[in-house]
Amino acid sequence: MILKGDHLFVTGGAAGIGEAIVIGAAKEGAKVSFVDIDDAKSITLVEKLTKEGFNVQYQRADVTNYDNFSSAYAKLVSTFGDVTLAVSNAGRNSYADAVEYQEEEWNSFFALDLKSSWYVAKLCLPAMRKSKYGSIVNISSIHGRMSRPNFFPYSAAKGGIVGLSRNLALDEGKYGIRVNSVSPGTTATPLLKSYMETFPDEKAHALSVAPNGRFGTPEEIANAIIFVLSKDASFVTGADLMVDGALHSRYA
Amino acid sequence: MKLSGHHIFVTGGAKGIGEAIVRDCLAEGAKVSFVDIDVKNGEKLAAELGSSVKFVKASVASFAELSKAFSEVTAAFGEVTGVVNNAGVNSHADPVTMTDQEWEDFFAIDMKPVWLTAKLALPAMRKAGKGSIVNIGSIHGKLTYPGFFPYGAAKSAVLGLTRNLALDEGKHEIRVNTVSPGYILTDLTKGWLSAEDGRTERANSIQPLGRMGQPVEVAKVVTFLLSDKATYISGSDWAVDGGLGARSA
Repeated sequence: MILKGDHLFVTGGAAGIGEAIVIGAAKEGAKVSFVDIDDAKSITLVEKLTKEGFNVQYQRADVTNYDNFSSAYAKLVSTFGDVTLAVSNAGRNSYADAVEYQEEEWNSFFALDLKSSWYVAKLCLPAMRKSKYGSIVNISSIHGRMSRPNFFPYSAAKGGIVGLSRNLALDEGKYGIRVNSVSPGTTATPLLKSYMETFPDEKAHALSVAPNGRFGTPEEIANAIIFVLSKDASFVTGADLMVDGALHSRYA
Repeated sequence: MKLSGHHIFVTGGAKGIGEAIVRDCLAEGAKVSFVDIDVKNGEKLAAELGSSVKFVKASVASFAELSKAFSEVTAAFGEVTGVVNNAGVNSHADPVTMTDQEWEDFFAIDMKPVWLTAKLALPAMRKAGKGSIVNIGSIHGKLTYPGFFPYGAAKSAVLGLTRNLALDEGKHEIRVNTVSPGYILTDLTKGWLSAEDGRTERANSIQPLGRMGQPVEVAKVVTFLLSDKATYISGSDWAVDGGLGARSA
């Protein structure tokens, strides 16, 4: 129970890696609050975990809208108390042609895949600074350091997450707050499924280049995130932790 | 108990980060064997920790000694399921005055054993279709500081070795990772810090967390990477440096 006594806040907790974090952290003893835009899935998840005896709650929030996001956050804190751990996980894919891409599309994409990590920090840092304790994990991607064709501008946002995490780590270290990014490789999530549907040839390719011949599971990514959040990782900060079955060790 | 049923083999386990790794692996339920050239501290630690820990004197620079030790510990505890390459020494050389022998001696300790232990441990791991190797690198693998020639080269090489081993052994579900500590308060570090006035103060002043790390804080990360909680982590370099690697001078 490495998260006993903690209150974890997760964005995009209804499905995929986010869902695995919510479940895994609850099992490690944390109270868990999450936001998402998918009411149906979120409510089902909360009901299931509550029935199993875990402390889990949800508020609908659009993490690209600060007013909406902060009011959901305030409600969550009012029931479970100050947040001690946070995971900025909400995100989506982007496959754009740099010429065709429209400015509104760019703005709405970066609002979700990059800026919402700042919002998470803005919301949870005040209490963490006060208590001189906290750990934040921002979900980046292998695309934060190496990419594949057709991922413009996804990689820019994910690279941004790594840089944002580094600066927060330097600035908040004096308060004992740790900030890291975790970068998954090819992971069997709804996001991956949608990518494979968009680019049908990619599945066989991705499997053929995976050093262990398989994709990761959301649980395997969540295990790493939960470890980095925990006190067992007390000297880990400003790091980008790859969880990709060694894919990033390989070119092509 | 993350490591129940495991047999973890640690090099340089008598002191410092190695000792902390031996202790944490034991606490997580593993049988732990370790080699070191420091017989006094090795025997003392093994005696303190009891029958699930075995110490054998061996220099990692000698394949003959290392392989003999490896046979002894597998005879006692069964096949090795996890390896931690931790043995190492500092090197602060001038490239002009450094001798060929000094170069050879240094790389024989800080780099080559990563291969030698892989050579010994991989056959059983391949057969089992499972295994985890953790190599202790350093912040010097990516960023360094004046006066660390050729330490940075050896530690960068450990990253390269890790990558290739990870790619080649992945099909056997054998995972290979590096853990790269920053300033950790071991005897090695304390020796370096006290060698010059003001080093300790300067070292603390650049730490994003305002302090240096403890050996156990590295050990906890190593134990995690050895465990079945880390089944999709391979080829990675996990920094345990209190954020120092995120900072430019």
